[in-house]
Amino acid sequence: MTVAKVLITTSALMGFMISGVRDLRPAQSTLCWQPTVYTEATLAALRSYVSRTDARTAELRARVGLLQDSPDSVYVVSNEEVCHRGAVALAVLKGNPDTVNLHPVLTIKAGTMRYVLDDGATKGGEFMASYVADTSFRILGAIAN
Amino acid sequence: MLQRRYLTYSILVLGAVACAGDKPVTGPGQETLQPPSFQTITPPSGTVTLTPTASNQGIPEQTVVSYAEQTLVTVRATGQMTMTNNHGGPAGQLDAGGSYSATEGGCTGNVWVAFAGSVGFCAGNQQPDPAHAWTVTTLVQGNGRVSWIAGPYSPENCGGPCFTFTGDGFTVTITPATVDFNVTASPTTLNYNDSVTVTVTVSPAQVSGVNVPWRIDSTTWAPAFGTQASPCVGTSWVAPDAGTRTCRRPFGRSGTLTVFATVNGVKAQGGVTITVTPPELDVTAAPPTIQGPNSVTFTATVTPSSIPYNSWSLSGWTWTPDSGTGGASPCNWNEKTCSRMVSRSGWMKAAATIGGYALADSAHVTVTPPVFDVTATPASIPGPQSVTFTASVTPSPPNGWNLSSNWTWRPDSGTGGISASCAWNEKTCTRTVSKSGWMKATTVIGAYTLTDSARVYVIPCPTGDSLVDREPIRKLLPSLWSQASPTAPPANRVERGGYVYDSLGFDITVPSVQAPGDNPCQNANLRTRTLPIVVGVHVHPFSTGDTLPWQQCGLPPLLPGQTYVMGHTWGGPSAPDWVRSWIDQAPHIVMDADSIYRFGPPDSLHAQVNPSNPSDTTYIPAGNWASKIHSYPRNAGSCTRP
Repeated sequence: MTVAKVLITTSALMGFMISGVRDLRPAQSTLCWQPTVYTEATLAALRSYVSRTDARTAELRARVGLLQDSPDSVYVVSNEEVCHRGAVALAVLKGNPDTVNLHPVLTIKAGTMRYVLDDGATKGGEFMASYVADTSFRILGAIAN
Repeated sequence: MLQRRYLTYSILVLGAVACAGDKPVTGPGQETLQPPSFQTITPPSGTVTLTPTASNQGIPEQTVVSYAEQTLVTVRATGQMTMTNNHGGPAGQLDAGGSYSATEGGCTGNVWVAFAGSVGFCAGNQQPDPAHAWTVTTLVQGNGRVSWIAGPYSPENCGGPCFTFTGDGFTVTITPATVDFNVTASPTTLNYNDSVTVTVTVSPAQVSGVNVPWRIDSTTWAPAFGTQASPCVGTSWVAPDAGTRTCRRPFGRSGTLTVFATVNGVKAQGGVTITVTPPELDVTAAPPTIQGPNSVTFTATVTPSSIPYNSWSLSGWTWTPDSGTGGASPCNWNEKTCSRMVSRSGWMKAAATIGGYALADSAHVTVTPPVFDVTATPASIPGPQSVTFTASVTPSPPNGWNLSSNWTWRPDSGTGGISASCAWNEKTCTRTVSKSGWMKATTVIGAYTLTDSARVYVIPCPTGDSLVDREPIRKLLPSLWSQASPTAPPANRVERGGYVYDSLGFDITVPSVQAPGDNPCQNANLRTRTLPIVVGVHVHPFSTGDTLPWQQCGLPPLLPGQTYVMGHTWGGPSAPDWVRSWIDQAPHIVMDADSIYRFGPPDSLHAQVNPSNPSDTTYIPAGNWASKIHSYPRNAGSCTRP
């Protein structure tokens, strides 16, 4: 199902909202976006993709460019310089020539040689996408969840 | 002559109407009881003029008026005569008191009035005699006689009359007291057996310090129905003062009370109409509505509450069912409260006679059918295995219940499919079932014949999840999967969905129509019914790790060689799938090429703002959402689900 088809309105849902503080942080203050609930779910899934040894997971890694590694090698990056590079990589991917006024991205180290970048704004159908990049921040593929 | 002034009061008209159907009641003198309650009593009066002409010629007595009963009257004599002596000279004036003679020891030349005894008149013996009004108020009885006594006495022999008179004579008037006679009651409208004060008054009660003579001779009571002694009899009356008599008594029926009296010598009567609100018998049933046979308490009470509990008895109870026969036994006549087992809707009626009133009332009891439920456990089985069928009645009848016949097994196809039939005396029955089918049981509870059935579904490779293994879902999933074209190139696949609703205990399966925007990565899956949702279902026509057709899915383009693959951050469903479950507040099922996921609803949602666009909010599951998902592999051993 797609987000657009869920047929809910923001105003309607606002009345139901129960959890948490919004995770928006001013772009000028940091480029390391770390929304709590979303970060936890994404991190758990990535650890699974990186560390599991079954054939289907191995095939997923191969298709998207991930490398097998230990669960501990998957963690959230808080280094502004790294996040900046991630933000630049996604801006370029999306055809945005402005690499100065960047938007924050969730940057996760996914094994020794890979990063996963998520700007929280990439949607297709009912899925949201995270991008896999190498240590040069070259995009290798994407995972839609 | 009696002169009566009749006042008409509407209440008395009503009283007369109330008595119209009965034999006319008459009072003393056979007078028809048409009371006014108020009368002015005016006994006869009398008057006479005596005109003497000479002192030696008295006027003989004559009866002016007669009173059979003691009567208070005022006797008055007026007028003067001018006297002339036998020498032709003036001799003064003579009034009704005449002249007192010490020699005679009394009066002469005076007006004499007497009934049983003398009333008057006689001048004083002290000279000079003062002027007199010659009037007296007194009780009299009998003939009122009037005469003029010759005189004045003179010791001389006048050789004829000593005096001659000129003038208009003496006028004697005998005037009885005029009094009002009234009969009232308070209250005149009352509840059964409330007390009424009947008041009889004579006014004025005294004239010139003398009591008006009066007495109550009798009372009659004309009840609205039947016969009754008069509530007010001779000893009932009390006299708070000379002009009043009261009687305070409880009244049980409407009617007219007439008081016969003799007032200042005249027969008088007055009546009051009493309107009594009859007692009521009230029957209640508690509770008035029961589900299936149950005990009901019936209570009979009477109003007004002032009627003592032990002063009345019921004549009996009767039970009438709304249909058919039976359903309850009537209470005993000597029970004002009783509890009975009631199994059919109907009326319980009580009757009583209180104070001559035949009373009855009824209370209705509605018996609604209990819930008869037949279950099969487990309802879904992978192949021949034991299934326990259970029949229950809710609420359970206090006196127990049984099935009315043996259970009936009906397989979906052919015959058999069960190891043995279940008997009527087995409310729980375990048999080996090898085919899908229905087990039916019937019971009769009171007026209701109740039937229910339980479905046993033989499915291959059950998950053990009661929702996923539910028959309509197991049939809907492969249908949706087939419609999603899962073996077609990814770009040609499409998500498909539907809902299963609960329609009064029956599952209604409604596949959703394919919306214009549906594609390999989305499906509107609109909810089209307002029925309660059992589960929302849709399929993702991919495996985890499959490459998604980014163009059809609306994802940003990648460079050649780069792909979007299907992940499982949210356990298999997407975040919007969780949101939909939360909105529906119902579980959802997603099936992809690998697994069947049953999930939701989540505890809560989290609003996540797009960091590059604050006006864009995405909702994701929050709380312990991960514990709200169960996944079942589609390929389990030799099984392929669904």
